[in-house]
Amino acid sequence: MSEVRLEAVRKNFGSVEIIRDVDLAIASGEFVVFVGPSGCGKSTLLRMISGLESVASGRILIDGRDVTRLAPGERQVAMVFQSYALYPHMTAVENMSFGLRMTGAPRAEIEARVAEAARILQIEPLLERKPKQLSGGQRQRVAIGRAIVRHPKVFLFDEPLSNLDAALRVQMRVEIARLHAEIGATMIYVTHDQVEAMTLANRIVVLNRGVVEQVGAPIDLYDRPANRFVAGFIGQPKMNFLDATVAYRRDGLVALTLPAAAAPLEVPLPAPPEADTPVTLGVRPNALTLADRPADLAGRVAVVEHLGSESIVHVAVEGVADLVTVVAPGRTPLRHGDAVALAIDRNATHVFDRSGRTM
Amino acid sequence: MTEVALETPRGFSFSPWRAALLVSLVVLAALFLAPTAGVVLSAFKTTRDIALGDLWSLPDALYLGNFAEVIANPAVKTYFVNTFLVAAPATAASIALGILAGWVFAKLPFRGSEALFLVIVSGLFFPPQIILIPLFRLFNALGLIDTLWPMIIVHTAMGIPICTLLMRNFFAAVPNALREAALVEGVNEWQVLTRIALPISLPAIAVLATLQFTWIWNDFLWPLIFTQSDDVRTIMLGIVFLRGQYTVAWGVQGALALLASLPTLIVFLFFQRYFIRGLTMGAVKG
Repeated sequence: MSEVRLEAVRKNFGSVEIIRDVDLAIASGEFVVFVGPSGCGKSTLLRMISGLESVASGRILIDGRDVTRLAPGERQVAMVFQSYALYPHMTAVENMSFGLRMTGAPRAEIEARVAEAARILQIEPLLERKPKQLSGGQRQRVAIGRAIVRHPKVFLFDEPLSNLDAALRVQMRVEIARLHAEIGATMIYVTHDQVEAMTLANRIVVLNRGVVEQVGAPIDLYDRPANRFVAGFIGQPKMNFLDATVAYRRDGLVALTLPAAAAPLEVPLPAPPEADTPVTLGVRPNALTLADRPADLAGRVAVVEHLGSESIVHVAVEGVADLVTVVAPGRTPLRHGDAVALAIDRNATHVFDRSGRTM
Repeated sequence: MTEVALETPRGFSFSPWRAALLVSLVVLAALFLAPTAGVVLSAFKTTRDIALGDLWSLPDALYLGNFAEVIANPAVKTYFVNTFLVAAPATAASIALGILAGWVFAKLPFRGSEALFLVIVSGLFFPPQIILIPLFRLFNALGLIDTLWPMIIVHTAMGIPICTLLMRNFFAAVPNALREAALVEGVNEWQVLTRIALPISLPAIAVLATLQFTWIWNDFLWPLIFTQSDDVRTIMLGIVFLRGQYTVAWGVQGALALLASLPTLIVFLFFQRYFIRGLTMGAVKG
């Protein structure tokens, strides 16, 4: 178990800045997930920690030791790749022991470590098979086993479940969580799937265009996003954003004028801005309810998605460019074109200024 | 009744274009095979039969005297040994250099590596006749004329472009993640190349080995330039020099030509089992 510290880390490809001044401290035994949209720099940051990408400036420390200029093999990290990266001409056991054999570890120790990893991952019957004889999930388990046998200070996972089908992804997600609980190692995990991030992480690092937007526990990020980007990225379905203007303010309260709304909407806000300030109101789909009589917003149903236990209703609201998403419990009888009214839970709203910061 | 008579067998329909193509292919194949057939037929005929102009008919009996004469000739053994002493090291050296250069160009690019790669590959289009005289003068100055060394060196050098091109393209298709996974495990670059990249590149190496060995074995030009005495002649030159004082021994030459083609056939058969694709299957998703 080891702590990882990034200090003002930067990276550029030519004139394009990929990672900009990232500072991050990861505690020993922590499970940290880097999450963000494609091209945000999350994989690059992980590869910089592994040593596969160079660092333009800044420092990377593992257990207090500066590893910024060290080769990947000298950093005592292990990496699991999205594509598994198993050596095709070797059996599972040869794949798992390859690194140890090449670095001259004693034979007895190699055998013991492989046996231990195989037991943890329950892959003992697969050890003599070659990668092409394994399913996707089995291959990824062998790849994780290859990481475990090295007893690394830090485990690095680069979108390890992205190539698996949905059912297997859920199963492997649980297995990785169980693995972390069992061996308690420091793990850094990259994904673009915010459900994976929410379910696996002790802390999530949200990245956008090479910048850390927010770091925090999953529920903190969900309840208290630092800005509109994080609010939109964390949470499924995505948060609704409505342009609004401050009509008036009182202590700890602001009244917002929404497009096509009958009356200003009063929402709690610790430091309300002045009247006429343009803002953005963020409302999660489960903070909206379908009302029988006139409510905060009115519109017509565009699409209904039935998920069995709940329904997702997309509503076209006059004056709002994007469809407004509502999570309705159970099975709704609503159909395309039906007129609906939407009520907003005042206590579950988020207000952002025009630059996107949470107010 | 009429309808039945007009029906063609299922799956068969006459196409004049198809027929023309087929006839053209057969004619081309016949033209291509005719010299080989001539060599095979002459190898099994007596000099008298050939001198009487009876080359293209099948022999009444298999005459093996030409083969006996070739095998009994001590010079032939020297030709074989010399050719092997040139072809084996030149093949191995050019492939080894191609592997190293190909790995660097595919996986360890540096500033200007693309340009350097193009310069090396442009060697493929370099006519050897241009460098005949300079090379002769060079090896003469080094005192290497009439030894096997000039042929080994020239074939190694001239094999580098094709070996580099093929190996670079093959290595480029080896997923980067394999190399990176090994590097993170503490494996060094040499071990990545020899323990991971080479084993999964056996098909490419097999193709290269077959091509290089065949080209070098069958080469006529460089031995003609660099050798003078019978002791250092290679097999292709030996075929030409294997003739009587006043007559051309077609039958004996045919027999030696057939024997001379055996090693390349053996090399092909040996490497044939590696000519299979899909060794990287299962390495990465897809």
